[in-house]
Amino acid sequence: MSYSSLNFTIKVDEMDSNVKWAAFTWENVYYEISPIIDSEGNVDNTATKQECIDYLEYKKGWGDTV
Amino acid sequence: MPVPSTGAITLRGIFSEKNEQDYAAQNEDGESNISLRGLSENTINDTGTGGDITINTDGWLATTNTSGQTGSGIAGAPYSMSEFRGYDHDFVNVNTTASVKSGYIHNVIQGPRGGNRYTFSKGYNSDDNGTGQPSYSTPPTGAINNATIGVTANIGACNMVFASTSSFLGAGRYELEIAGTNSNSGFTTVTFTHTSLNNSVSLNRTAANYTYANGRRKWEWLIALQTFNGSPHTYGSVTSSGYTSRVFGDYNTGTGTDPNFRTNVVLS
Repeated sequence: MSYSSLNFTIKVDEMDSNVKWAAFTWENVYYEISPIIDSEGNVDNTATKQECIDYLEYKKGWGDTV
Repeated sequence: MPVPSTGAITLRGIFSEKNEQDYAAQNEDGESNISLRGLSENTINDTGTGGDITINTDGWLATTNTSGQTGSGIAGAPYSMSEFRGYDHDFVNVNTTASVKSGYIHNVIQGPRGGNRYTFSKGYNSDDNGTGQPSYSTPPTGAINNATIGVTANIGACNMVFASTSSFLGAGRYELEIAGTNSNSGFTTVTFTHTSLNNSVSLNRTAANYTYANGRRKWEWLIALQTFNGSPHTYGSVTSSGYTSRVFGDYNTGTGTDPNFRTNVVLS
């Protein structure tokens, strides 16, 4: 599956302003997952998008690693 | 302030408590002919000029109510102002704890590098068979008591809560689903406690992945196997028979439903 149209936004947690989320919607499901932060404390957009994709793959897949 | 538990009370004050959540206001709010029967019964108008204000059946549960009144006979004759003593119209009785009777399933599957992998899924209404393979069944539903939970307010009914082995990169997982609108909030920590064994696991909301669709809010915690194996999460390891959750259910093999409610789900 192509995830080229997947886009996330960074949002602040509703209860803890110190926490950030990578928020996105995919196939009518809304997601918030932890973004990848680089060594300077900034969101790594490339790594975070890959994290989003990895999570979607996990949610749809039936892997064999237990 | 709620209706006083002791001392003199007024019909106008009771109306004020129902109308604007403040007995002390003593405010008729432009209405007249306050009816004691109307205040007491939900099908009767509270005043001669206005409509009915529905009784809050939790209104007597506040700790400020020291009157001994419970509201149990409020809607029936004979009507008495004293039955309103301690009534707090906007009091919300928050339930922080649900109790789970686990459905469980344990399986043995072939591991990725040979050898057996022992898997489980245990809890209430789990949609995960614990194996990562679709040919296996999910566990029996189990049951839940006091499903509607929250911290400062009830945020919704818990429709799913379980622990399982996961297909994801060799991880264990917990999942909590609470009905409601899309909001990743309402609690800071969820704690699962096995009430017989006194085992417990606390998980922070901000450590979970959150999803929402169709009124279903889900929080999922993925925990690496080297952490998931052993205390506080599991007995044994994924490569040994008897591998199971420490906080959900009573059994470490087979499939079925526990005879008892063994796991408290506590929001804080």
